[in-house]
Amino acid sequence: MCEERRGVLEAIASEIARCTRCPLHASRTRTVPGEGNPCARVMFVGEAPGFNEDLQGRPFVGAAGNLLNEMLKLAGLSREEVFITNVVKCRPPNNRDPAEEEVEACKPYLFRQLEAVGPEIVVCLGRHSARVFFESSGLKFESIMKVRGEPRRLVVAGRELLCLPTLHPAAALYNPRLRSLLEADFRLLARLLSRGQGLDRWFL
Amino acid sequence: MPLKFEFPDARDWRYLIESLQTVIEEANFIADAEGLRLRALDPSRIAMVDLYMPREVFELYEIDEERVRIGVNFDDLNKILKRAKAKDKILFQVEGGRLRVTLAGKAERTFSLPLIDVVGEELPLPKVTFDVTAKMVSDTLRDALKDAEMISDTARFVGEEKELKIVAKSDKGELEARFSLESGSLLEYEVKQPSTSSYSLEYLEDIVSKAYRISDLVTLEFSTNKPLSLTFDIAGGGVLRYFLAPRME
Repeated sequence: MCEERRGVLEAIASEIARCTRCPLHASRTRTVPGEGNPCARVMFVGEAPGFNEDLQGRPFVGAAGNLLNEMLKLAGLSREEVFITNVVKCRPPNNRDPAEEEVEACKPYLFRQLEAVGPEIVVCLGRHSARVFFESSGLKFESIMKVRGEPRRLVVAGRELLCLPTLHPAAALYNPRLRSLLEADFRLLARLLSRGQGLDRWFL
Repeated sequence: MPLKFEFPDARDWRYLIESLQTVIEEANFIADAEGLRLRALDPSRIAMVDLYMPREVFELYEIDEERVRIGVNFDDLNKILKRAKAKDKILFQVEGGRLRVTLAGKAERTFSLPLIDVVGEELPLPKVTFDVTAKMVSDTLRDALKDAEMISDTARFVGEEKELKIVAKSDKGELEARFSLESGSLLEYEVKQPSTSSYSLEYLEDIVSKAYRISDLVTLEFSTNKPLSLTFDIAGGGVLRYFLAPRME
């Protein structure tokens, strides 16, 4: 089953590599479709590739990626067992926020990745990612600080999942207060995963 | 008297209580104008039972209060129910902190038990959508689970387009039980998307080996890595439903 899913993810990545749906294709070095375990229990969704990601074609490989790796360890996870991607698969120039049309153009790829991996938990890293998941589920999104650390069951693109919104690691890089919030959310993720043997997670 | 209800066959109640005992030793029945309900989680929070018996399933159902809680120890209640003879009717009466159970056959015998204070949280049902739904004869499922239990302590449920499989594997060997509409082993089958999920056979076999006496038919519902639902319909409109958490592979 995982090999089948890997095949689907590779096909999506090939489509992304050829994508010209929004203006970002003109300025990208490489597309960054995402990577990881095709049968992951947890999927991490960030905002958009940055400078290093654009060069390497891999998500979260810069300083924010190092912090994400540390957080994964805190939750008892490794990069190999999770799937990591972004809402937008090409780098916005000068790391600006992705524009609405760019998010809309890229969203179908994200939802197809979601369908292929079928994770139990999606961790939204930052406000852009959380907004996409909340609004796609028919919920109003106000700010990441209001919703972070509170897992909720959403139905996104017809798929039921547990969404854990948290901060983008880049936001916590140089801010100890935000870093401690990020750590708390990853500790919560560890608890959600370890409760996988019981029914509790399905009551949320 | 706050609550009184009568059921035509005392032995059905014995089977029902034994089915509840597979998940929990003591719990509260909640009676209101609509009927009788019980929802409880086992101590490890892996299995949940949800019972609903509408007032129509009873020969007599009288309630003087809005809501009556009946906290019972199932082992104590079952000792009484085991004394029931074939065709005995059963009457339950709640009054003064006691549960009176009358078995009415050739003779009428009334037992009285103190109600117990069971601390329980108000539980919601698990929020799950199911991709595979299969209806089958409950004895057929029971046989397959017994077969699987000889091999492993986990059963993998595989819902394919045309076929439901129950698979068990270990160093002892391998079992694959296959069910389909075509072979007649499934009465209804719907697959929204192919799904696979594993569940503890210890719980499953225990639940089905008791609950199959409640209903000839069982409806199974599951999705990949999500809880399994087993629904046994009780004659007259009642429902005995179980949820079982998946085992992550």
